[in-house]
Amino acid sequence: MSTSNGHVIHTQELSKSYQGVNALQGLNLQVPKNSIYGFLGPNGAGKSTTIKMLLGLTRPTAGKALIFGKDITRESLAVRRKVGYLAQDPRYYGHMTARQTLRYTARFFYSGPKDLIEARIEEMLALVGLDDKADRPIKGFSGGERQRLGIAQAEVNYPDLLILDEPAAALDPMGRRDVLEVMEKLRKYTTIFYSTHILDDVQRVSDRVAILNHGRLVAEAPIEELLNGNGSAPVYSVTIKGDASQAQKRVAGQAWVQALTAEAKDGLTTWQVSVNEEEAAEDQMLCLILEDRNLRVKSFGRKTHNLEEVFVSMVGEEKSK
Amino acid sequence: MSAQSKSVNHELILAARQGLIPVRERAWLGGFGNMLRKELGQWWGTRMGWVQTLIWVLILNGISTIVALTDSLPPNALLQSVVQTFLPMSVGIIGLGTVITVQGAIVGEKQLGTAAWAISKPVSRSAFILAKTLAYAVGFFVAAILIPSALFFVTVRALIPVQLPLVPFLYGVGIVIVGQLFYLTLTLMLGTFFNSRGPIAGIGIGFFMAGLLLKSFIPQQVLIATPWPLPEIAAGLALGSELPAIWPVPVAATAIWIVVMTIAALWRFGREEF
Repeated sequence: MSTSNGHVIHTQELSKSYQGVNALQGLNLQVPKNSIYGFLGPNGAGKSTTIKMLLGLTRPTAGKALIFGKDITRESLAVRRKVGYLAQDPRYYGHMTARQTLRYTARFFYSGPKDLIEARIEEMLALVGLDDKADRPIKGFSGGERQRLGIAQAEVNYPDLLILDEPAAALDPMGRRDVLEVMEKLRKYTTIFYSTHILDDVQRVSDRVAILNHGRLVAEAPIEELLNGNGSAPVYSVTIKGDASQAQKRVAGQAWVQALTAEAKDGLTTWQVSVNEEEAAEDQMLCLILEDRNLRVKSFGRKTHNLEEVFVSMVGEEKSK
Repeated sequence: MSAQSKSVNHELILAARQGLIPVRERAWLGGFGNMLRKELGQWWGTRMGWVQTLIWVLILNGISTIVALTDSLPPNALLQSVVQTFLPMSVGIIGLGTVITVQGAIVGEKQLGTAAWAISKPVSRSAFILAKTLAYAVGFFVAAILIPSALFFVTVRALIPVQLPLVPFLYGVGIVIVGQLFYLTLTLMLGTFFNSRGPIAGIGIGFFMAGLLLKSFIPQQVLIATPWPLPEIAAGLALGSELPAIWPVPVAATAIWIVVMTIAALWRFGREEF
């Protein structure tokens, strides 16, 4: 598999405008091989536009993108041979059954042998739990069933890259859980690039995350890094019982402390300590506090954010600019 | 999904694709074979093809048989009357039927999202248009031209004592095919330019009606560049009648229009933003 600097997807200043409105502006992304890459953003952020450009469904107005080292505009067909795609609101030919749809999809990629193609179709039907509805026309399918069929048709060609646009949006909680499980299992064989606004799902399965807002990339990092503050100073949270004013002076006076804020409530004092040396903080902070024998530390740990906080703060910051 | 997915050995499912033979097609025609198979399946794997056949047989053969049975003319004049009913009517009504049937072929897929889905697979946009063109051409040829024409030929031989020569009749049928292809490529081309059925049906049917209403009033130099004289040419060729010397011009012009409209459809669909 040829990649661009080891990246399956590599975009450079990828941009798209519709009649003067910038849907996407200068997007630079690198999606590593075998990663599960979450592509987040509010409605209208440019997620689907990006995905459509990657698949050759719409053309960039500026910039470029490579998938497996191939240009998405000039070598789109070669790109699509290696990709599986699930649209946000998947639609298929209503007169076809699920099995016929998978057969139709598989034949774009493989000319035979027939028995292996049929075996693959059976496997995919079982994978998404549609084996009992395989021979019913799709026009009677619910949104969730269409979504499941969408996952099956996206995976039927053993894609090296799976692009999923809101894969779990139309599913109930059980369906969502199953989709995430399938994604985790597929990680070994394929790279998954998916857009979503369900932040819990992203936090659960993604390795790396990009956040898009108003067509601009506002953050891009491994999920842990993003949850730990994405390059900003680490923050430790300490909850202390007792009068902590002396301890606060001792800790705040350390060279490795950037800022310390304290909040007292119900006889407990909670500090937020941002530091520039994690090791020093972890080695010394508790000792400095416990020099005061009257104090008891109720909790101590590095503060992590949940993705929703990160997302809201980043998208909110953009809005206020 | 969970109950079934538990029973599946994912490791086996997701393992390599050994033994499968990748499709090898030229880039500009990528996916054509599969698209064509699907389009033909829509005609002949569903009721559509048989319903179309029944409709065309009822209309074309029904009317021409009624003429053959009710006109009290001498055999030669009756043959002429029947052929002059069947072939011009075929050129006209099949053209109209083509516009009505095909108006949603591309727009419907654009609106529903199935076109975007198909194009997200290794399918070239040219293959998408050409597969539709060929499948509808074949579908209409079989349902509206081949079967009704064969039935007509047999009926005429059975009902009228004067023989209808086969080869000239086939020339006439050839003109019907040219006329049908004109309306087919016109409708498909319009489908690539518009995003709703209204303008497609309006322009297609409007063009057909304009032929009926304006043919006698527009200058000859303009008329010969259109498919409007085709009904008379089809009947004239089948009956061996004397035709104006310029009769090949409308046929050639219509053939050129077919090519031009196909190229325009390919060009426009190649720029479609999904």
